[in-house]
Amino acid sequence: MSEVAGSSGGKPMTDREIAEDLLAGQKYLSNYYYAPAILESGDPALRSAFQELHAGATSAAKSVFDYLHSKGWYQVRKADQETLSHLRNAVHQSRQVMNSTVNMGGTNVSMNQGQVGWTGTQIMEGQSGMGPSSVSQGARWGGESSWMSGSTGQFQGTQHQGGIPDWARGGYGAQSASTGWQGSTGWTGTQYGEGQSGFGPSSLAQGARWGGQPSWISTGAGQIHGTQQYQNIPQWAQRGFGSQSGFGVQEGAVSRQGWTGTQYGEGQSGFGPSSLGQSAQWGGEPSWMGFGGQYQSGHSANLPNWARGGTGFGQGGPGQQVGFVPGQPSLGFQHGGTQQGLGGMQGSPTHFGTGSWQRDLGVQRQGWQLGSQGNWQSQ
Amino acid sequence: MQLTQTEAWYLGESIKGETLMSQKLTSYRQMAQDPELRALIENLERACERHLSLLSSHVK
Repeated sequence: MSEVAGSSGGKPMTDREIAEDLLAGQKYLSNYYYAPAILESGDPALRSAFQELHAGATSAAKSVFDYLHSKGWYQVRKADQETLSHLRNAVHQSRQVMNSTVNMGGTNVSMNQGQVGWTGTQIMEGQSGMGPSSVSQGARWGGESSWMSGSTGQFQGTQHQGGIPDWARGGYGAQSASTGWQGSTGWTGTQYGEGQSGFGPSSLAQGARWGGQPSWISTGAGQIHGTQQYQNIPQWAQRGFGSQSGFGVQEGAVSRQGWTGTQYGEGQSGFGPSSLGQSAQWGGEPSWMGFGGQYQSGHSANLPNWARGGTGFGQGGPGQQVGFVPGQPSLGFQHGGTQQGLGGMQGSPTHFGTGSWQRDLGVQRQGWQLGSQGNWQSQ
Repeated sequence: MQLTQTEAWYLGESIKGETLMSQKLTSYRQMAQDPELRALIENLERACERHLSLLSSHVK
């Protein structure tokens, strides 16, 4: 294996590390820049451009993957029989649901609901029920899909709504015994399998764990404090109903949720103008963010920090930077660009590197230049 | 059509991302030992330049 000493005199960087970092970078561009940009672009020409860029990034990622694979540095694992069995079961059950719905013309979906216990998505890799990422190598989730009702996996809805998850029901009488999103479900799905740099569907969330609720659920340890009618509905969907407060109420929700994974930042206010992020509250910080990343509500809680013009107290930081250092295997793909304001969104979705998400100690970069020591330095 | 705030943000971030990627590729090309990897990096550099050009064209 060839090794190259970095110009900074740090740890030598191998060809493998270089390729893995490039793969991670291309994935990041694809997943966190271009994919959401496509969705958020209203201008057809710009949308088309982002689609082209997205295709380019995925194509580049494929090229790098092929190189890694040819060298034996990127092993793919075939699904085991248990997983395939669950997958087939899920397909079968899905067809049953669909057939029942279609055959009944939507007027009488009175199927054997006890058998709709969707287990395939939770137990298998590549879960389809939740989370933005559909593949999680090695992921396990022992619970049921959060939108499923009751411990028996039964839909307890009316006949008209039996095949519909609770959250999709408009009526008031179809709630289940389940509280929906529960902190005890121990979701480790999306992030769990993405722990290797350059591996898996996403380059984020390396080794991340989530044992609780998604960050956009505000109160309580994984419980929805809702009315009976809306127990299975995430809080953001319950705004204005019953005792729900939805987003924007809980000041500086603490990071007890421990979410460090992929979805933490996605769709969140401050991570980019995603439609999910309107008035979003989240308390922790994504894994690639610096410390103290609390998003607090306030007068401009609906705005990401970069969109705020006012002065803020988000961070001053001690001034250290953990930047892109040629020759370092864990080089950060850090260019900040975002500015801090009230709420202290620290960092931006612009960090990516090979080995780990590095904590940015507080300095954002607007521009870069290659310094005399081989370090990337802000201009 | 005038850019929306959202579009402008994504454009800006994308330009910064591609720029940094370009810088990394330049460094990696010099560091890579494997000729195959070096050739791959050169291709990626060209793609990066195209991407930057495309992004810049939307900034009036």
